[in-house]
Amino acid sequence: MTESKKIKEKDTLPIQSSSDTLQKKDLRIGKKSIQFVAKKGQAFDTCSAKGDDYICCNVKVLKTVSNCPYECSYCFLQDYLSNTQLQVTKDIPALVKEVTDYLEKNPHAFIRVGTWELGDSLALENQTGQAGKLIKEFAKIPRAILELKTKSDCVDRILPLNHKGKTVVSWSMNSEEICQKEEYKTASLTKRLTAAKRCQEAGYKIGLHFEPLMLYQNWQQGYNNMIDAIFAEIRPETIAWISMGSLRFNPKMRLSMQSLYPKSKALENEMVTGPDGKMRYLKPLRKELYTHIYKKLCRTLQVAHLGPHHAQSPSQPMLYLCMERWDMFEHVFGSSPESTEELENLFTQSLFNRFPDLNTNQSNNQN
Amino acid sequence: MKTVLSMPTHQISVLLKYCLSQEKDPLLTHALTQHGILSPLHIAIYKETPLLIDGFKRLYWAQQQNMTKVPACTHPCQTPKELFQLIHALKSKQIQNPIIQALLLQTLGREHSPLLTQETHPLSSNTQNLETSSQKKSYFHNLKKLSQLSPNILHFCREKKFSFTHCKKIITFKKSTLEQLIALNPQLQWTASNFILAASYIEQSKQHTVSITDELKDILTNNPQLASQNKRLQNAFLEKLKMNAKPTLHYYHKEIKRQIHALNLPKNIDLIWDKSLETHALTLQIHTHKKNMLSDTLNSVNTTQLTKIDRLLDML
Repeated sequence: MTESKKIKEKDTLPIQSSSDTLQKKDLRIGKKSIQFVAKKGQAFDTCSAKGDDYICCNVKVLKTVSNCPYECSYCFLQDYLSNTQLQVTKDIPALVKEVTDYLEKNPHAFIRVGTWELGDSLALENQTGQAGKLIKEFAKIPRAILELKTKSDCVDRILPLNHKGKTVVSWSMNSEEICQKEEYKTASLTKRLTAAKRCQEAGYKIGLHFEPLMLYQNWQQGYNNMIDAIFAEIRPETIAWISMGSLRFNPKMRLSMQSLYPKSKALENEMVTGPDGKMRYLKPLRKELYTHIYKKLCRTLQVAHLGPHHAQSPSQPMLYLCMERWDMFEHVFGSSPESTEELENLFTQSLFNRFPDLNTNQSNNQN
Repeated sequence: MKTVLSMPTHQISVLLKYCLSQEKDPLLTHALTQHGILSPLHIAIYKETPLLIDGFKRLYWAQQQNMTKVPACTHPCQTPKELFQLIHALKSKQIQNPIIQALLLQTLGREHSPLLTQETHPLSSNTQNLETSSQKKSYFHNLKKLSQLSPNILHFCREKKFSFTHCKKIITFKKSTLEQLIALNPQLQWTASNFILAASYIEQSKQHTVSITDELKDILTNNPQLASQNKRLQNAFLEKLKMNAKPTLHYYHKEIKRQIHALNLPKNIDLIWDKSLETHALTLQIHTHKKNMLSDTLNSVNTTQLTKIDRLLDML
């Protein structure tokens, strides 16, 4: 009897019919059914990307799901998960308690909490309703904002909820070519944007993550088109933050990527291993990639500057780099935060200045 | 121990997927159409997975006829060694093919595969000329390396894809290594020639900054026929290289070296940079062995040179 069969029938939901396959360790097998599990161990933590050599945004993570129904060729989960069963933690109060406990111990902190560390925040929402429950809980928590990051368009169930402006619904955005060829089974760019527009109309703040940026033939045109498409639908004043990060992965992942996604273009370019042990494109090429997108964003938003030090007006969302060093910030934005702590502080300032309701909520809750 | 049974076709995994022959064999097709499948397929049950070892054409025919079950002999295999022995017993001819070996390596696991670590495998007879164990070890190591790369080359040829990473790996193969491999195992000639071809295309692509080693150039000079063996292949490589032409790490290192050389710094000064280019820093190393040499050296560096060193930092 397999592990999933041991779980009570009502606790396991099939996503699609699957024939009996014998490669039990295959990541794809675990994606075919959802297992609802109790919270085990610590679910609240700091984003694992944080490292001493890099300027990080210091976002907190709440591990509410493990594995993901989508199949992105570059996804680190293919090498990371020892248990590949798609799992959803059902114990919402226990999850939320970890957040409130942290806030009690850190009375001056304002935290962003993402649920995307080990999976997609919304892909399973129609089946689980987990994100909806979290949205309602975070509406009551002072000094914390929830980030749901997704590549899906599963937003129907969260649209009518009373989120009180305490939830940012974020999308991993990539050019249509990459969405189609590297992010299998995910929503297309157009569908993601339609969903984002609906969330915007429902009063949610929007987050955009241009990750992983990839080099391919005509990438410049691909990313220009992506940015044009985004700002045809989304108003900059509703965007809480935009991140940029280039393709990176653990060197060990090469083999699994080659065997699971032989047609992927993710391995086509030369890469080097950085101090954090992850492989990235050569730094001069990453500079070119980020600078191109930065300039395109400035032109589209009709602003002279963007970046962590220029994110205080409604038309200037917080734009930052993910897992890059200070010199890359300086090259792209002209200035760099001194430390992860400074970037985090700039983040909070930007949110409070651009979304005064967050600051008011915080004061009200404190009183 | 083996069992003959009717096995559902959809459960059968094809071990050597590139071997699932779709070629038309009129005699076999005629026989199958007249009499059906008379001799059972051979299937290894390895780690609970049924892997097809023998009967690729029969399975393909059965799939075409929408047959749900086929007669099969099952052979339980607990270890990669047992699996390999079975493959060897049933497919002794095909296993000589280095591409098949490479696929086997991928299936069995590169680290623990008995294919290239045990002297019982079919290529071991070729190692009789190798006198010492270190020579044999080196032969197996290189064979393994080549075998791991060759499916990628094949794949990229078929898909008209090619990556710089693969190019880099190719050019690290020395002439002597290739010659030794080919001498010991003539069947590797074809695979090795692919590597040589790839290297030649890198050289032909003017936009590309990687240069092949002199040793490989010698091979090309001595084997001009290799370079013109397959026009389609050449075009695929060239197209991919042109499309993908981006400066390489090698190019940046060359450029940094060139700029440092142009600085005309005193000979006892070295400028050192992080070879991965990730760290935004240049280290100035001054070698001194006499009193006052340090201050003399520092004084000899002028402001223009210092400004240029500063500019050099922009590359990092």
